[in-house]
Amino acid sequence: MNKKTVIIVVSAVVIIVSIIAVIYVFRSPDTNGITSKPDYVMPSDSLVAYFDKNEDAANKLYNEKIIQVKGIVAEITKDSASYNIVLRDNNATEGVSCTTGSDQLEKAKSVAIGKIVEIKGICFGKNLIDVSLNKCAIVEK
Amino acid sequence: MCLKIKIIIIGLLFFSQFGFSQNRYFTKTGTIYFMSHTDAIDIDGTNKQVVSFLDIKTGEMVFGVLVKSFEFTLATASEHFNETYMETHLYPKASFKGIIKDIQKIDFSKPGKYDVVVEGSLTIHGVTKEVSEKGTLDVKENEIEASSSFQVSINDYKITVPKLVEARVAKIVDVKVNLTYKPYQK
Repeated sequence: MNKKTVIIVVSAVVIIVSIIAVIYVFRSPDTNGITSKPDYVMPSDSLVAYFDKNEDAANKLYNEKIIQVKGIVAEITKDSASYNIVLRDNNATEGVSCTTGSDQLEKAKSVAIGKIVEIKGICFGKNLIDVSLNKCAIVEK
Repeated sequence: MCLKIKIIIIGLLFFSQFGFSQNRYFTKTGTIYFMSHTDAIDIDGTNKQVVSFLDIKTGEMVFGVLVKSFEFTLATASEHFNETYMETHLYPKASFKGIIKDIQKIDFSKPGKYDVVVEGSLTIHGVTKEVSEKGTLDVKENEIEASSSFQVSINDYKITVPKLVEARVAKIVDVKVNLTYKPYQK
């Protein structure tokens, strides 16, 4: 292999690696709802109760785990990329706030206040009033 | 206890509760944006799930932020931010609890912009520091917009950056807070 060929091959490798690195760093974050099986399944009010009882212990147990909760829809808000669905029992002041993945917009349209739904998402902890689940997927039965 | 006294007590309890709820404002869609600017790279993140209460009678202000809820322009920044710098598995929440000074000088019945000073305890990465920052309250018909821009020193909150990437993370981070409060209904 002559010197010219070596330079061309090395240059090509450097360019390809650079392109892959740029794509990796600037890739769009995955915003879809999770598809994996849940680590825990429980009623939404039980998850809230665990955090109320001992937030530190609940953080250790549930944070960054996939939780599937079932509860009554109390609030629905929508932005351009996701729905936020709050599951909260009647007369309760705290609930589970579920931010859906961007692929859940169609499914979320069928969710209505007062209906009972099952949703799974990644637990980020409790934020003053609600336990937060993210990248949520609506579970179809 | 005679019926008349019972009615008075129930009435007082009702009106005290009613009055209290009218003073409390709330949001759970507040925004915190931060920018770490260095010559090597700009890293910015936005959290649109900030929960906050404001009591316009006492000036009490509290907000909570789940650190994991920050979204980044650079996908790889999220991993480093949560795992290496903020250690969200140990410290999932950042919070502020404080007071708006001289809140009684603001006429909340009259729309308008008011410059304010907020003082209180800011907890980030498990470290609590007393802070005092300037901000603005924009009183509107049925909502209050609160905003503030300030800087946070990562050393103050014991956030350590590996030597290898030290030049890529700013020591002083610019932070912008925007909260749109509505009357708290519960």
